[in-house]
Amino acid sequence: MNAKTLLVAMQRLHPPWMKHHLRCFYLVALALAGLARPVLAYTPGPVQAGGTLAGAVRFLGPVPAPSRLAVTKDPQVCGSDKPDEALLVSAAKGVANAIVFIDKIGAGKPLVVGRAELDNTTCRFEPHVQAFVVGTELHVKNDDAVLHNTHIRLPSSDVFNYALPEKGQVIKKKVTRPGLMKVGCDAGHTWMSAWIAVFDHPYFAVTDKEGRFSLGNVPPGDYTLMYWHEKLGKASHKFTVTAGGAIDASHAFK
Amino acid sequence: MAPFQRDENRSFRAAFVLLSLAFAAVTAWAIADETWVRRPWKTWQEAYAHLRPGHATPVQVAQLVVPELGVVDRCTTCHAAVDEPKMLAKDLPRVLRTHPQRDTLLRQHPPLHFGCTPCHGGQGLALTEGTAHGAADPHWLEPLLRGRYVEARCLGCHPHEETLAGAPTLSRGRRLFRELGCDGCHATGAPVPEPKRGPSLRHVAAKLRPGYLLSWIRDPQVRRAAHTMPQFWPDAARNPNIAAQRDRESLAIAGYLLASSEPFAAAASAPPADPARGEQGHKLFDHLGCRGCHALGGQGRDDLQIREEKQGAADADAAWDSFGATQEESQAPTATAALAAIDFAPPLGELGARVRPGFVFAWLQDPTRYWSAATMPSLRVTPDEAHDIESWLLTAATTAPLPDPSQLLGAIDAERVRSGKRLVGQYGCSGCHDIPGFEQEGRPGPDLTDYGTKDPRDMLFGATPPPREQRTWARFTEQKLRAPRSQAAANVHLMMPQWPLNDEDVLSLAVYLRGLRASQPPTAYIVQPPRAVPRRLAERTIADRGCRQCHKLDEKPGAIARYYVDAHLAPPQLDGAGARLQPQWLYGYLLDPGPVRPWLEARMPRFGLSEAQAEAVGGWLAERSEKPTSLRPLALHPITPERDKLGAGLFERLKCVTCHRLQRGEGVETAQLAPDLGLARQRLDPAWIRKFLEDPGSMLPRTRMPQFFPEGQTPAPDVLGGDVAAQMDLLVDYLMNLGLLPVGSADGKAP
Repeated sequence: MNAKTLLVAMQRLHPPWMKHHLRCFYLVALALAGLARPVLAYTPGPVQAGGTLAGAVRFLGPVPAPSRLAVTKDPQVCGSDKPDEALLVSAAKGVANAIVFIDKIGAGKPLVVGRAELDNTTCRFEPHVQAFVVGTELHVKNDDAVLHNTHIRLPSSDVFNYALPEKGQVIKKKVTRPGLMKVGCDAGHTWMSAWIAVFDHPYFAVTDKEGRFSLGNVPPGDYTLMYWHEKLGKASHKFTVTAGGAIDASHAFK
Repeated sequence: MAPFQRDENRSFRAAFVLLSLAFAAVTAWAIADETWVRRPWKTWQEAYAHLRPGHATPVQVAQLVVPELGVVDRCTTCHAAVDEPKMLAKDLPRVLRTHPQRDTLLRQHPPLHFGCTPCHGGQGLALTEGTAHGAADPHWLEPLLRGRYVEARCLGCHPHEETLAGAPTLSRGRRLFRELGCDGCHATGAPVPEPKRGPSLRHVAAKLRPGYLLSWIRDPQVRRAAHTMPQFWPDAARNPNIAAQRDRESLAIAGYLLASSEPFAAAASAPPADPARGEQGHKLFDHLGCRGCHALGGQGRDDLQIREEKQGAADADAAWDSFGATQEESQAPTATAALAAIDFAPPLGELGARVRPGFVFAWLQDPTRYWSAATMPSLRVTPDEAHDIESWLLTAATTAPLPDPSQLLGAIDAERVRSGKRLVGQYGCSGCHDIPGFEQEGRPGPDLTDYGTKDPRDMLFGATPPPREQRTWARFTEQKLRAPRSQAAANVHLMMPQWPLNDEDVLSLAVYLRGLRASQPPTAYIVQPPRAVPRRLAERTIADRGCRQCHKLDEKPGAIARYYVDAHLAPPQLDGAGARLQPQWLYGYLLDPGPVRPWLEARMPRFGLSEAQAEAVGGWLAERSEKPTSLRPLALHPITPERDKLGAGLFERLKCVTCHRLQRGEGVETAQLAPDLGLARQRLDPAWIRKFLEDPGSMLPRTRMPQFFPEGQTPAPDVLGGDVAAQMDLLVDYLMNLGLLPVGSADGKAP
């Protein structure tokens, strides 16, 4: 056996067609993986004959009496207690501060990037729940003469954690990651809480005092609408939006 | 005489002719053999020359000579491409491939200085595969190490490193050998004998209930799944003779242990358990950090209680974790994974059935009184707290069925105690346990110092040995580890007990044993731990004392972390601690800890470390952090009273005292949120504080400490001209000089 026959024998063990076959296999596998992955990127563009998803979020269960949160620090500025804003239900059972959004929408109306505000005012966050799109500049403001410490977290990482020692101080920060963020004050104001939902598409809303919301200019198609509330949890419904149609997308938590 | 002489000449000539012919034949055969018969190594060299024209040397026997190691290796005659970087293709025959991980392994072990056989085994001088690799030469006692056995010989030059990155199996085997207490019975040539692995049995009658002691000796597997006590009668379930032997012998051993046990005064004076204290004891158990090491297990007790309690305050967390498709993956551990993780220390679920009243009370206050080498640290509990915890653990536990030993124990007489003593000696119990009457006993098992080179022909393969060619070192050793008694024969009585080892454990231990050799490489080859940090001591201390049970280390959260929803309520991380803390402070803290983070409920225990251990652990942590503080003096800036006052002003302005306490003067209300900055001067590295001020989250992920200077802005633009860097420097200087100037020049109040 000389070197040439050796090489021939080696080539027989791993013939070129097998390599080609493998390459094809990888390509197909990659393509399949690409198809199977949810489309996360959102493509803005003109919407022809968009429809509307509107309605109200209600809570049909027993509504607990409004409670107060005890103030354990800085009572001279914060007062003795604060309202618990976690679950606010109107007379008509509408739930305020629920977030309603279309899950995994790939294309639609353009995003409006602007600014949003989060005030620390008499030791509560204003607003308690808000939602905006990625790229929005968040203005975090302290109206109180105490140190506030606005700590914004995703479930497994921090978005930012800013100290606001001065009254009237404003810190501006562009929010670049989507997700549901929990806001707290680490300066001992354990009762302070707020939620911020950041989306990479414009189809979302925070319900008003009566629980109402409206998502307009939705391109015709099939969608999953998600409802989230900090106390009531999550729910979803499927809807088919027709050209120019208006759909009642109300949801009732029980 | 002439005919005789003629005859002699003739026979001489005949012999000469015959020998000449023979010589010619041999020469011709040699030439023919060299010319026409292919030597496999020539084939490989020609193949190599063909594959890498211009790179290969002329066809010849290649050899590496390393006089220091007494090595002449001709391996590269066939394995010509070992040190050639580009022969990596998977379709090349293995003999012509580059050495795996050449860039790391061969760079650190250049073949010119190490040869091949010192790491791989095999017969270096041989030129055919069978003899070189040793399989075809039964007289060559060190055949090529195959598969993961190739890690074995790393041990020779790396005896000081606890874990070797390139040899995970060996590292695991060595760790198992120690953790299972093998070195209690077997010497391995380690210079310092280890402390005994199992708990002391000197006062065992004051600790264990007799029924539990007996059932534990009989079969520890039944009582607890994850532990290191082996089975001494492993075949009792299959063989009624052995079952009878077990019943007889275990009773005698228990009898001797109870009869020889010495009184334990600390437990005798314990107050009786008081159910009314149970609730307080439960709370203490949950909050002190006991759960970092101990699971509860047993009846109806939910190990995830704390987490659920804490979660009650945040109902929405579940929905938060899974919000929409764009949300990040949740990192929350599942209940099953969490429970499976605990086997560091005994679960305490059945404690009431196991231990006698008063023992927990005495043990908690100072474990070393019962057992001087106790792994359990002192949690600095007061007698009252110990009483609370004992009251809860003993009364709340329900009893699982145990054999009732009262009648059996009644049968213990002097004869039985005598035979018990003999059995304790025979089974080698004193290899792992401190037992009265066995203080002078040596290691009961055979010396394994040179086991790695043992000749398989000296190994006894049992009553029905495998065929001769299968009687290898690996086969015997692996079988011995898997079922130590299985290779017994008519006149071969084996005493080694059986551990529940899986295949991975068996292989790891065998690889470690294969590396044990009496002959050491020259001193120059033995890797000394760098910078005089006794790395093995540090890593052992960290493993044995369970630092990882509570602290995040190597990016892995401590076992206790799953009980905390808020990460900052869990014990602090040790990743980066070497850069954060001053070595002198850490050293003192390890020896005698005190409260640093008053808001934490878990208590840093006092481990009773030796000074050498504390120094080793501190050095180890420093070595692993990006910026070892031990190597450079602390950069302290002397501070003027004016600058100190400016610093105090900025400190006040930024309202740092909202969370931090300063032990300077009485002015500051205690805050339960952040460490006492009065300690910072001794405790923290100034360069670390500076970086921490810039971006706290990057130094301590998820910390509550906020960023005061985001995006290069300052909340106090009028101080130092609004220069953010200068303001941070000022704060560091202020903190590092706190308390050095006489009180009154600046008292921590606003100017």
